[in-house]
This record gives sequence, C-alpha cells and structure tokens, in this order.
Amino acid sequence: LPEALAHIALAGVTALAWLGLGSLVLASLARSGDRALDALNRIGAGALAWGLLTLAAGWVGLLHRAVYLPPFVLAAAAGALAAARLLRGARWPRPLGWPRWQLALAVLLGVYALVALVAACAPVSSADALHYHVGVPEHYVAEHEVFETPWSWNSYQPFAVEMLITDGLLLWDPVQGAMAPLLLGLAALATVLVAAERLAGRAVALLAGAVFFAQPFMLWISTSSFVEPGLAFAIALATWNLVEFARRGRVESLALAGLLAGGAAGMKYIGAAAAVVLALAATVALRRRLRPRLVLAFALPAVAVALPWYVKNAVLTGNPVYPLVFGGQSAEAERAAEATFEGYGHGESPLDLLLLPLRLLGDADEFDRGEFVSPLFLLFAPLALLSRRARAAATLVGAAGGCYVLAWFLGSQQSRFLVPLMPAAAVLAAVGMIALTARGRVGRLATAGVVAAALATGAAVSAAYAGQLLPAAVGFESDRRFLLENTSYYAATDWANRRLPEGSRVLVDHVFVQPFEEPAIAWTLDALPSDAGPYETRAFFRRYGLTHALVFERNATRLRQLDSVRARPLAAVEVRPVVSRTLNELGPTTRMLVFAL
Amino acid sequence: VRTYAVAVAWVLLGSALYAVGILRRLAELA
Repeated sequence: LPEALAHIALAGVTALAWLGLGSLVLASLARSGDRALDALNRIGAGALAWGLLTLAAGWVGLLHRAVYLPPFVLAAAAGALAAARLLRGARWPRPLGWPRWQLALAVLLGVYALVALVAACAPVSSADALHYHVGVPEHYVAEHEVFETPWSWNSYQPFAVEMLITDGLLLWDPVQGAMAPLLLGLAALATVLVAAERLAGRAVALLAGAVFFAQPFMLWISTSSFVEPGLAFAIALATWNLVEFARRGRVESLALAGLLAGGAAGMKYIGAAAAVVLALAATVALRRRLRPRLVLAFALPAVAVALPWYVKNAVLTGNPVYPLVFGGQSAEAERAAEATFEGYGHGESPLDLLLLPLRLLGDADEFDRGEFVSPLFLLFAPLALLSRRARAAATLVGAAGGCYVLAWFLGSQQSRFLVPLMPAAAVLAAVGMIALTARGRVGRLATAGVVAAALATGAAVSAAYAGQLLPAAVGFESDRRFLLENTSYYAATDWANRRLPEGSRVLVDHVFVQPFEEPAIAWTLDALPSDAGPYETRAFFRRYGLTHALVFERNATRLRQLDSVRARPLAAVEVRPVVSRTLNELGPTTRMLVFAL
Repeated sequence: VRTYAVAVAWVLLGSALYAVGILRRLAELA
C-alpha cells in the first residue's frame, strides 16, 4: 500500500511538472479568462512539451535519471506555483446544494477516478503495454537512448504518450510509467466536465462526465498504458478551444486548438485522422470567418508538434507513416501486421455499415472489447437533435463523428480507436438525455431508468475488472501470482527471469517483451523472415547480441531456424495465454521451449 | 409527438438490444 500511495503521489507531482512546463511554453499567450481552461491548456501543452523533450533527449542518448530529475523537480515547483496562482480566489462547486442524482453522479465519478488510480498501481499486464507501450520504452531507458526497434512495427507510430511513459520509467518503474496515460485520461474527464459545464450547465456536465468515464471501457483504457486517453484529452481540449474561438474570436484559442490537434497526431496515426476530421469540421463551422492568418494560427503549431514523429520515420525508413500507405515491410510482415488490425468487426459491406449501430449495441465483442463500451453514447447522442438550442452544433459534431466512424469502419474496427470521439459524443448524449426528459413523463422515466441501468451494469463489469487488479495493486497478492494469472505466457517469462544469467539477451516467440528482467525482443516477421536461412539467422542473432530464445513448440518455422544454427535446447515450460483479464478467461495450455543460442 | 415517440422507442429498444447482448455474453461465459 505505501508503494501504491507513493506512485499516486508521484503522479500528482508529474501533473504539476506538466503544468509547470506548459505554463512556461504558453507564458507569452494571453489568458482566456477561464481558469480551468487555462489550467488544462497548460497541462496539455506541458505534456506535449515533455514528450518532445524526452524524444530529443533520447535521440542524443541522455535518458538518464540524473538528467531527467533536475528539470522534473524544477518544472514541478513551477507547476505548484502556477497551480497556487490558478486556485487563488477560485470558485469551488458546492455539491451539498445539488439535486441528489447529480450528487450521485459526482460520487460515482470520484469512485471511478479513485479506483483507476489504485488499479493502475498493479504490475503492468495489458497485452499492448507489454508489447510496446511500456515494452519499447523499457528498452530506451535500459540503453539510455531512443533508437530504432524494427522488430515492432508499432514502435514507428508517433510515440508522444510512450515518451511520457519513458519519463515515468526514468522517475521510478513501469507502474509510474502507466500513470501518464491515466493522468491524460483524468485530464480528458476534467475537460469533458468543465467544457460541458461552460456550454450547457452542471446537469449536462455531470451526465457527460458519467457517460464518458463511468464505464468499464474507459477504466480499462485508462489503466492499461494505452495511448487513447491522450487522444481523448488532446481532441477534446482542441475542440473546446475551437468552440472558444467561435464564441470569442481570440486567435490564441485557435493556436491552442492547433497545438492540441497536432499533439493528437503526434501520439498515434489515428490521432492524425481525428485531427484532420476536427480541422475539416472547424473549417465548415468557421467558413465565413476564415482568413489565411487564422488558418496559419491553427496549422503552424499543429504541424510543429506532430512533425518530429513523421520526419523520424521518413529518415529511418523512407516512409513518414511507416508501415502504412507507402509500405516498407516485407510481404509476409505486412500480412501479419494487417491481420492484427483487420481481424475485428463483422465486415465492411454496405449491409454491415447499416447494421453497425445495432451491432455496437448488441453484438459488440467482435469490435475488440466493444461490449465494455457504454451503450449511452449511441442511445442518447442522436437525441441531441431534439434540443433546438444544440441542434446546429449537434448536426456538425454528428457529421464530423460520422466521417470519423466511416474511416474507422473501413480501417480497423477496434472500439479503442473510437475513443477520440467519446468526449464529444458524451456531451451530445448528455444533451440528448436532458432534451428527452424535457419532452414528457415517459421520456423522463425512460431516460432515468436506462441511464441508471447502464451505469449499474457498467459498475458491475468495472468491479470485476478492478477486482483482478486491486489486490496486486495494494500488495495483497504477489506480483508473480498476479502476472501468472493476468499476462499471457508469463510462466515462461518467469522461468527466464529466474534461470537466465545476468547479461542475457532474450528472443521471444510472442510480443510481450515486458516483464522480462533481461532485455528481450520479439521474434516477429519484421525481425526475421520465415524463410531466412542459417547465415541470415545467425547474423540476426549476432546483430542483437541474443543469447537465448523462447519458442512455442508448435512453431515449426522458428524451430527449423534454431536447428539450422545448432541452438541448444535447455527446457520446456507450460504456458497459457490470457484472453481477458476482466472475465478471467485463459486460453489452452501449450509449451514454450527455451534454447541457448 | 412522432419524433418524441421515435426517440423513446429508440432508447427502449436499443437498451433492450444491449441487455440481450450482455445476457448472451454472460451465458457464453457460464
């Protein structure tokens, strides 16, 4: 428990460090007059600045704790001063005077935030985190630099959030790294709450906050080192700044919107898609006021923040969006990569498109954990059109959201990739709820009943998920036992951690390179083609200084390659994949063979 | 009135569909 509290306290200091650096970066920008917006803008700009600074430091081999700590402490001190200034004389909400249902929603959100903070203290166990969100930053920190990791094509995605995870690793450990995406998720929640409050009042704000964050999906996303909480925050805050520009005409708001939209593009390729859709929606909404100067005010900071990632890829691979669009992988590696993002959903025919809303509601597990997404988005967001006041805005947001969903439908149908839409959809859903309740008694009863039932169902699923993580997070369950039950093939990882000598370098026949204690790389088709002969295989082992390999006993291709270089078998370990942590679902037992190279 | 009725029907039928999906998933797991 003391360790969990220390992680949470350091997450607080990290948020101050983001605020401090953001205050410095935006020092010359006039304030908006809205303290909460100013604070969130500074936190967002600070997080993006830390991400780029970490990339720059990594590029020149400066990823050392001793290098990181002094600016971190200084930025946190500056952040504490900025926070004190922002909080001085601030008007605080007085919940005791609120209606009971609003109080209940506020308490529910508080509980979700608290559970998320504690759950994130469990050892990192999400599959993608073990592969690259945390797995690759661990390599950076071990080598003290950011370098190319060709064995993971995902590591060529823009990596701003992974840079913040790297900061957490420099500060302490992978759990501290996992706090960065969670902080971004909480910042997204704050953005939804405050923006909705400013636009439509407290009732809409609390409902929107609950739709967005009081759902098992967001609890899972925020506590699993994913990039998506960052995308939700950046796109939500960029949208709010655009709304501010539309209302008050301050160019600073437009520049901040550009900075944050570019920030999303610097976090993940789908962030770039979301930023483009947002820019198009803004162009339509502001078409009568557009001037070249204003377009530049948005576009310049956007491009400046996103560009480093795309230039890095262009320099390293010749393809700025490697491995997408212009390719660059071998044919079989490309097929394997496609399989990882095309194996979702029900299909891409016009009929599938027509049935999409119904499937997202009633048959969503094909969309990769889609069954954990709150149904309230889809049930109530269209009803925002019932509100005369919100109709024009709802039409625009709905059309922009529709464009993004269409791109998602034709791309990779993973519900995670819809997260950038969720803040805006949550506000629309909340507006729709209020509009329906205003229309009559039946609407009021239907809204109250459905919202309460959905939140209760979500809370039950969230409890099942958190129940897996909390015992390990607070020290009631050993890390080893937790990892055995919650990470795929951990028995083999554990064997390697116990038996392999210090200085080993491990090659693994799956992608979960964390939590190997010695450096481990994934034996993907990007790393070595399946038809590589003994000469190429030996050269590959030598290039990475590999000493041991862990291979599934059924992988004939890799066993043949190991045999061709006379690798020596050491042991066989029984392992199981984890299908779902929330549902406590394990796959069939299989064996991994350990070889000395 | 017609829009109101359609809106209420959408919310009720949609939530019923969601409930059926959740129950089906629970049955699969059981």
